Amino acid sequence: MSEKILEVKDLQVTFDMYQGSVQAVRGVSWYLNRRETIGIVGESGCGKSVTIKTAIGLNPVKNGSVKGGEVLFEGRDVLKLNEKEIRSILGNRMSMIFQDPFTYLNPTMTVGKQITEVYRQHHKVSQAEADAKAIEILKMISMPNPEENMKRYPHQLSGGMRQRIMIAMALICEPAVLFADEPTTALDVTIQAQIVELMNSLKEQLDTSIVLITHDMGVVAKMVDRVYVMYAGKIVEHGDAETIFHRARHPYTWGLLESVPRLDQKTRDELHSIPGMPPDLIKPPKGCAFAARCRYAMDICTREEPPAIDLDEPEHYSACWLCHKECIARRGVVTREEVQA
Amino acid sequence: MSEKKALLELKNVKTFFKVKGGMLKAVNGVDLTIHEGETVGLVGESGCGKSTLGKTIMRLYKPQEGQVLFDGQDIWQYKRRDVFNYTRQVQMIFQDPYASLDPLSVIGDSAAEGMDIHHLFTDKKQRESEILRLLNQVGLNESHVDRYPHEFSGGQRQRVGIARALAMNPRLIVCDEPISALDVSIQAQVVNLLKKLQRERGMAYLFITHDLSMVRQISDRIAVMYLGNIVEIANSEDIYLHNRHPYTRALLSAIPIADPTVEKQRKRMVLGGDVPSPVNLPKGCSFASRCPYATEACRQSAPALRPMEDGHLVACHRAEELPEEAY
Repeated sequence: MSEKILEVKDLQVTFDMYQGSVQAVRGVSWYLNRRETIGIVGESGCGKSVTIKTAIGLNPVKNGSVKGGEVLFEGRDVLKLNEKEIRSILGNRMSMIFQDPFTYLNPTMTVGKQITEVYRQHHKVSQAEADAKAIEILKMISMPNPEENMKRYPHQLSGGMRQRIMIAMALICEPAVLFADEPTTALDVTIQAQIVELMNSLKEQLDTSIVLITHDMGVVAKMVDRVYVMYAGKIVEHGDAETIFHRARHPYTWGLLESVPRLDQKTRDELHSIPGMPPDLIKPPKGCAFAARCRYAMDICTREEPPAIDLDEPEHYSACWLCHKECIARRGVVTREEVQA
Repeated sequence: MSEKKALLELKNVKTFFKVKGGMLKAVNGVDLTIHEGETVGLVGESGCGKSTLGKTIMRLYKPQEGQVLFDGQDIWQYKRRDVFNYTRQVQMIFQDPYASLDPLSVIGDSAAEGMDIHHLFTDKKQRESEILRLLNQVGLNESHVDRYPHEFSGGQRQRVGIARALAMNPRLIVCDEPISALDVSIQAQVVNLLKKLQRERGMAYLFITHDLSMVRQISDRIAVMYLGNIVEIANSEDIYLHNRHPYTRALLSAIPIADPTVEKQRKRMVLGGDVPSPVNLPKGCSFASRCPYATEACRQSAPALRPMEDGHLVACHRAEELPEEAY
């Protein structure tokens, strides 16, 4: 059995705003095994980025936004660490790749300097040694002319190259966990394909586990071992990739899968879309948060919140009343094929 | 398609920009015809010139060479009056619904701005009812008229952008990445809306995007652009099932399919390298440096767009020799 390297337990995050407090994350639990890639998927505003920013300690506990939960990494609770301890982990044992490589790079520093800065922060080495290490990493991620490109500034590089620089910065300390927040969304499809191949191969080479955040189900299919589907601050379904893509049981997961037109399928007259919009998390609805957009919504859905219901396959659960045994007894198992029909 | 009347014709259009070190050849000799009521998808990677082409059609950029003909007339030969008329008949929907609406105007006014400029109504009452009719058409209602853009979600803002374009009763709408800033479930809503409006009103769309899976759902024909040139153009299904240009093939193969079982079996054509600079275009075929099929001949002379079967055009020396396969 594989070992858990990172575990988030019942995490709750709220942000106080003028209009009230936004309950961005409402009790989320997930774990990550060694050498595994998990995907957290959902629409914007569902709390997926907040979850991982909290997990790497970027969301300071002392401002009161973290209302509860634990983040266990290497035997310690990240949420209880002080700033110095977090700095020793961040960029070293856990690191992150952001969506937009241009915003996160410093435009006034050469990219080589930016890569080595991380390394020298965590290791007592000379600039020359750090440079050598950076070149080694850049070669590994197949950057053309690493020596030359290290001397360049971000604006002199293309989008794909910048994303490679971000990846090099994240990997130079050989972290145990790599967080990737929409790493390919800002890139063209051909460059996206390169980056996805690259990240898949790095997992083996560096013994790194990956937490991938995305709304692109195609990228999920290509990279991920297990999937967590998030909606309105909660995980609504979890299972291994195969299960989620073929035997999903939550109507929101079906909606996500259906609204992406697939290249290997013919044109349809009308694309399937999920009607309406996600709820306002200042006042999350009573009952199931998805009920207002769900075509299967029953009475109970608006009254009572569905628990996570374990399903036949190992580790597959869905927070939907449709999966409750009483409901199945009454109307049988509802499947995705019904949506497609 | 041939019996349909040509609405807009581009003839060898070249739009260049002066930059340090020479001319940036953003659009480098494009021929393209859009017929009445047709949707043409224009796809390519960022920097290939697709947005510049869109803006050239909007008469925002003047091409260095070539002609843009609307109803057979050159839009750069227009008198002032004709220009005014042209800007009514050709409208644009922009990529970023957050940036393209005035944050200080209520959306009713934003949607009506074009009508105000073109005096399309006679009195205030008519203006009001026209605004309402437009908003209803795009799925918004009365209660939205007096709200500001920040009160709306991305999908709703994009609807306002669409209403603003519709207000002019245009014959052509240039949609520049209208869905790429939206969430997946909302993208489908907007594409469905655009299709519905076209059925009702019969205008033509030029749908600019880098999303090859979405563009198939809306387009009659698709043009693939690379470094300022159209490299392949064909009926929508032919682009997916009988494509003849290696670049089209690489683009399609790069798109992941949302199914892990299918993904594992797929052969993939990953392109090496980055796109060459549009300032120093290579001699010969501009795709040759990344093309797995390139020969010496490709590096020497640039292929012209030439007809295959069924109005299918392709710019590749080796189009006939490529193995037949779908994505």
